[in-house]
Amino acid sequence: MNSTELGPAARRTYLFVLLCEVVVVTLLWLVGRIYG
Amino acid sequence: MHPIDWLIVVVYITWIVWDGLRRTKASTEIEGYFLANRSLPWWAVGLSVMATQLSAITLVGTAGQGYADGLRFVQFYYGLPLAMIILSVTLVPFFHRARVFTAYEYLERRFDVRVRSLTSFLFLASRSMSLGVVISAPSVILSIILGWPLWGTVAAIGGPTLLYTMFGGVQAVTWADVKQMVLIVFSVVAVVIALLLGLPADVSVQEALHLAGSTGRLDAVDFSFSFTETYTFWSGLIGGLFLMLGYFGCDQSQVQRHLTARSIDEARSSLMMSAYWKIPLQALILLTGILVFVFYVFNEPPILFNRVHDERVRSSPRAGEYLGIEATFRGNFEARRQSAHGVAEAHRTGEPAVIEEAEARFRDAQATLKGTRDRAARLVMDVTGDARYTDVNYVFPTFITTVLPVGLTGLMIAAIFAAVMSSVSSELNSLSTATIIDFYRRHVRTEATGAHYLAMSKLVTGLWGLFACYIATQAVNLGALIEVVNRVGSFFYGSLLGVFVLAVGTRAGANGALAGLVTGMITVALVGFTTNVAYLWQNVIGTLAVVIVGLAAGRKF
Repeated sequence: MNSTELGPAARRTYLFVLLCEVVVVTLLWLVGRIYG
Repeated sequence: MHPIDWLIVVVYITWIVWDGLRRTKASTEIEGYFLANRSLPWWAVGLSVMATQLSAITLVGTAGQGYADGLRFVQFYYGLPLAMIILSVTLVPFFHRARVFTAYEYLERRFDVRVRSLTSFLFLASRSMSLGVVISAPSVILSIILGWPLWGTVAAIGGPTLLYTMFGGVQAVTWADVKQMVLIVFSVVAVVIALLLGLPADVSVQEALHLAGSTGRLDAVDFSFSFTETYTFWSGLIGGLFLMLGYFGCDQSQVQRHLTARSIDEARSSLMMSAYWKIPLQALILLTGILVFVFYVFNEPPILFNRVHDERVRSSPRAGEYLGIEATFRGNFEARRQSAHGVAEAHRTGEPAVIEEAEARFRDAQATLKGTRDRAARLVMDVTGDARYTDVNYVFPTFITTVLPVGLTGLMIAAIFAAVMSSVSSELNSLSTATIIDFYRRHVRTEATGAHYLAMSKLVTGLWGLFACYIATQAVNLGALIEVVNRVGSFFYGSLLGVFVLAVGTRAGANGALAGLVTGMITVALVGFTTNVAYLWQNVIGTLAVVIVGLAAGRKF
């Protein structure tokens, strides 16, 4: 997909990236809650 | 250091230089020298993007931050994944379709040559000075840790890097970055494992984490909203987003990485690598620092981690006072160690009240010890006259060279060399690209053979390298000047991003872009010098100022 338009695969990738960030930040927050 | 450790460092440097020089033949035109003929796979570009961002001072300083302050610093990167997505959708396809060598070349097509030249000049001025700091900061630390003269460490870092960057071009830079990134991650993981294995027999990993957590070192998310607090969730997410958009989207040292990718899709995938891995990697480096803190809870640390300052105070007229503080420090350490064992025992009982009491005792012991260390630091400030003394950046190198086993010390020192070399090589390569493409080929020699431009590119890379090494050796004397230039550079990021927003998102003209850029930088300078607004927010202010002024001026001109 060589254009600025977003295909479904690209949308899925970007959503997955955001989901991963939410998971990682949540895990970091949980580490602070559990051990802090 | 043990001869085996030295051997590891020498083998690493030799391998990197040999492999870089091997790639000299691959670059016969400037398209090959600067952009690898746009042929590189996404994973190599992605590792190069990460290696360029991770300088030695980031590696050593981040571990030091973990030791002193814990996970808090990781919030700085919370805006990065979103920035990578926005860039993948917006600027990356623009740059690739325009077939440009530099980000600023695109601005001439969109606006005019004045905007291109000014932005490229600002990039050259700020990046060349900051490159001096990128080399000097680890050189100063390594010279103290290894007992070398400063010029020796600058030469050991700058010489090999200059050699493979100058002759091998971006091919050498990228493939060296790949190896360097792998080495850095492998070494950090090995140190984390060594630290976990080195915990006292009666302290489990969980109990060690509870110890660190009881001092607030595992707090990675601060949801409070403040314009003056540097690291909070919101400053990282919003301010960090603008900073990362400016750095990865408008700074030639990063734009050039993804311009070498085979296609737009591969360029996007290379940025996604950072989006996935940057936060976990930074958290891992901070965790290393936190585990070093736990290590020094059970093993006596030096009162000061900077050996040179320590020796200066010992040989000063106030040596007696220093010895007294040191004796107190030893007593404080022993008390903290006992209370740390108390925390571990309390956790084994599972009684909340007992745990709370033990952790409070540990926190008190930690505060007392920190107070004693602060007294020693104030003594250093008095004796040396250095009012900004801090030894945070010396914690990790001291740990590496005095505690780690033979082999791992060499590996980690090689990783520090790798971190600085990977940043320096990419930045040298981009300085040369902007000089040749935006100035020499555009204004000086507009018609010449490919061989001529290639020879000039190599010459300019060499000259920038020598300039950066000179700045690095003079950094101590040029401190104030470098700070001013870097400060101006920081005014520039948000404003430059604003110009690109005007370019791709509005119909603003060249006059609007120029007026916006100048106003944006002045606004950020005013905010920076007259208020306490944290610098991550200054990027947001700079971008907004440029866009507002650019659009308003667009209506007038």
